Amino acid sequence: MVQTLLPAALAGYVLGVVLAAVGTVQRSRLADRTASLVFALSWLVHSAAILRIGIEAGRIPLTNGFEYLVVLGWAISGLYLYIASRHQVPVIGLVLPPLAALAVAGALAVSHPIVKDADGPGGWFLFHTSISTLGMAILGVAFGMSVLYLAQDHALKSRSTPGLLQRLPALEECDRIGLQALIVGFVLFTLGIGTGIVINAGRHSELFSGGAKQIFPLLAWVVFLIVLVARTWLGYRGRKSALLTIAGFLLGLATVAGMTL
Amino acid sequence: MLTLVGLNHRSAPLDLRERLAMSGQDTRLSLERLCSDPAVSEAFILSTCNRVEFLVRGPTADGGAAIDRYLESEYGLDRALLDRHAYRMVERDAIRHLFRVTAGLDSMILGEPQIQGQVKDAFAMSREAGTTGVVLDRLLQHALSAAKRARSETGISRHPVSVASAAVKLANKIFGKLDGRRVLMLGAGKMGELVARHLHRQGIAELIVCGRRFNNADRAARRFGGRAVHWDDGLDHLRTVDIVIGCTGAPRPVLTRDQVAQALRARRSRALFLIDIAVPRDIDPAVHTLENVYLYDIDALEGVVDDNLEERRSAARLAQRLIDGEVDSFERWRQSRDVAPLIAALRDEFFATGERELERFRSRLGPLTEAQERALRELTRAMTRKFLDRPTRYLRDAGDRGESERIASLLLKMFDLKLSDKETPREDDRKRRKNGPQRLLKGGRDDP
Repeated sequence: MVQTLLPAALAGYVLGVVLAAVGTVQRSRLADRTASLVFALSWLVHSAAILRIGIEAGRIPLTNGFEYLVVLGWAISGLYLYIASRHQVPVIGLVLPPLAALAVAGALAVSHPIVKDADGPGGWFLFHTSISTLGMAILGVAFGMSVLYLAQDHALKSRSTPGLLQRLPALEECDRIGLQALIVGFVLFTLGIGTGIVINAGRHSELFSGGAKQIFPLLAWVVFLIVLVARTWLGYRGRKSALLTIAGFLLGLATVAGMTL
Repeated sequence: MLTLVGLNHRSAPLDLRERLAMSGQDTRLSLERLCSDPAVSEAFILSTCNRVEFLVRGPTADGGAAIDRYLESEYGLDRALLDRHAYRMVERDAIRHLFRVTAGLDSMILGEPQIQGQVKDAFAMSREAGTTGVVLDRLLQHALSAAKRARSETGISRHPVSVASAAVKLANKIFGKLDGRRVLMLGAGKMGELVARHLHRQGIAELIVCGRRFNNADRAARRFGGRAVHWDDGLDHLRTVDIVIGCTGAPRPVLTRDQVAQALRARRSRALFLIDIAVPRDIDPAVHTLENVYLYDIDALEGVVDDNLEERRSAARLAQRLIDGEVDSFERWRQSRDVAPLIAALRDEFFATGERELERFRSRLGPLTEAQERALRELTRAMTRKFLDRPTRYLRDAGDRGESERIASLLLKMFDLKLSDKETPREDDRKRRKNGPQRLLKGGRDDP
């Protein structure tokens, strides 16, 4: 069942992205609306897949890399639907849903057998994984807004792409939504790292074991911290800030490499 | 012969157009200088941020050469440079171009409304300088009325787009909503005010007008509930404003890269949008290389406008058809004007013949009373007029049929007529009646 639902959700995301691209290039409202509908339906299918994994495993599905990617994609997709319903940011359909699709595609690539676990993971572990995943999803929004910021900045600097200019959100809107996402995502991500360190200390009697699972999140955390400090106290914004946010998110994603796949 | 030489946004880069940019006084002097050339009898100059065009009328085909001579001596533009960047048109092509320009069909923003006012102002300037005569007066009036028709009878005015709206659109793309934003206007130029008006409608928090002439700045600021500051204090506001409009008449940039870079540090890298609608430019183009700074000059602003483009293109096609009809109508007037001296000569010849024949037969009639004498003369003139009525009408309509030249040449040969070099008295009278005692052609000369 999961093996049907996840590919269906992935196909839906891909179709939605194609429709969103058509809507952007052709300036077709019909294509835009259809894309939104397809994204919403895909998200429902994606939700059903997670529910199914949870039922089959008898626990919250956040214990390995496969489940992490499935839930991360689902959260990013859900955040996209939330932002799209609240803000007029049409082109974001070309940034966040592809990210969600990549996460699902990654999950399908590493496809992990669903292991029934009667005892289930501990409460701290669930808190750690869910808060970290949600944090990363929100930081994914910051990443998406940074990508849009760079695209808009490039369009404005090059002065030669009126069509693109029309469709991209305002620079300050990208900046504002991106900053909000960065702050909330950073707080959750920090909590996730903190609880991870505590869990690690409990399991292995050491705070830091030095694996990719710990190095990448810490590197990402340092990058996000630099961006936030520079923005808040030094008024550091613009392209460099957007580039650092993108770098931080990619480092955060690399955490998957250290997970049990 | 009518000759037009011009440089516009398509043919020449902004830095070349800047070299030719003229203030009101410059234009007047240029008109007078052009008209001092023997090859030029009437002249008109249109200088806007997008184009500089010279339209001259002269007795020969040397009008273009006269413009070249002028541009070389005054602006150091040699022929090779002009050949690369200028367009040249004569007669019907020049007329059609002027009509298209006036209707906004040649503008970078298709159908933009400002150009009509700019042509009107340039026309007034030429009249004031006394460099337009019968033909250019009529041509410009016709071009303006054709543009008015195009705006009212086609959809081209239903989708108004301008540099100002482009500026607002770009500001929206940087800041989103503009309410609460602060704007600094350098200078109090007309176009700057237009941009300020558009921004004001978007709910900006404050407009600061900074001008070398405080009174002008104050007047402009009051219109939009803003405040004026002295020129020397203006740059301090760079630290706090979000948008800067450059619209001074300064011959070189008034805002340098270093000044903006210095302000950026105090701004903590907040985005700054600079709109430079002055020609010559007010803001050093290198400012655009600074991070979080977006500088748009007149060419760049117009390049981003594609609102309602399809509707405007479709309306422009209709407007073009209308303009073509108006050009034909003007050409007919010109041709009928060309035959006017011939009609006058023909009439003079017939009346003179009548007078001669009357004198020849006069002695055979014996003594006549004064009333009989007058009746006889009137009879002769009335008969001459009757004889000439149909040929005159035929000749006047020949222009419509494109035959005026052939028929005129035939009549000249048939009656061995000599045309007067001067303009017909009827036209001179009409001009005087129309313009009253303040004759338009103060310094203008007509074809010798």
